Amino acid sequence: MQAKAGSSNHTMIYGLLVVLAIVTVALPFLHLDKIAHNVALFSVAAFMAALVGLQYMNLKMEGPLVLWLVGIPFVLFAVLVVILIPEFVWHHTILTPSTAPPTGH
Amino acid sequence: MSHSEEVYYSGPVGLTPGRLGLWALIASEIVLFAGLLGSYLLLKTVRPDWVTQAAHLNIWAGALNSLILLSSNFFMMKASTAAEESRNEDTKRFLALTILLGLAFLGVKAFEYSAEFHHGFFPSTSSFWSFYFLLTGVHGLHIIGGLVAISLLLFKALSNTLEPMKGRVFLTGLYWSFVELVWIFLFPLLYLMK
Repeated sequence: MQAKAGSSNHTMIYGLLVVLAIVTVALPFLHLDKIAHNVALFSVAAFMAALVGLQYMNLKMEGPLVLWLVGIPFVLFAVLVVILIPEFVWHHTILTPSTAPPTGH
Repeated sequence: MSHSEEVYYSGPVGLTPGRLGLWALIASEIVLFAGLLGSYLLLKTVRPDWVTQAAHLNIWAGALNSLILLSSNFFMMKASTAAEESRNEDTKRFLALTILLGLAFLGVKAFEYSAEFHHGFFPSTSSFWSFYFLLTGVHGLHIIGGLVAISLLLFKALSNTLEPMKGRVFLTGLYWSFVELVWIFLFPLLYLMK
């Protein structure tokens, strides 16, 4: 009984992941604009990752210790990217070589 | 834990040292891949020419590899369930399928690399290709490491000595799922992102 339930659950998740993988490959053929395309792409990837993490890696059954252990690097990554992207873009688009402050010499 | 949750739970009940150790390893791997992916994302925001360079990648080979790795991980999950229920023949069959599909992934990747080298794209060609070879190369090394671990489990299963250490099939499945999870982000980031 348990074996059948676990096995059919894995099969269902696998089927869903395959469908989402096909959707990912189909996205470029929809010719969306850049932002919509990238948002759709990463939304599908995040959903697939959540399925793998929660169902296959059993994260939904893990206690707070494991959730903290795995969650902290994700949060730090998000903070790093969110803080650095505006800074990075600003330096490379606003501070062009002609307007950048002199570095001396 | 409710009854319905118990039905779908295929891992050990308590937080065993092995599972805690593996989650610590996965946490350190997240730091590694997040750093690499974050750097790639940051540079991509200011390098619009990377889109034209990424157009040289074989999307169909990447998509095929996505399906191969999804299938490989599916069989690893089946092997984990079979090992937990002491179904040795099923465990052997599913572990063998996992390894075969893992090797197929590496084969497709080798085909892609050879085509890229043939067209003159090397890690030194540009920063995009440096990132491409670094990210896929590090991921490939993780695939090889996983295949070694799964092969050891298959060897134990073939010699009927897996029973005392069947929990390791679950732990290896955890690692294999993480390797799949990394590819779920790598594929769109490298091959499809505009």
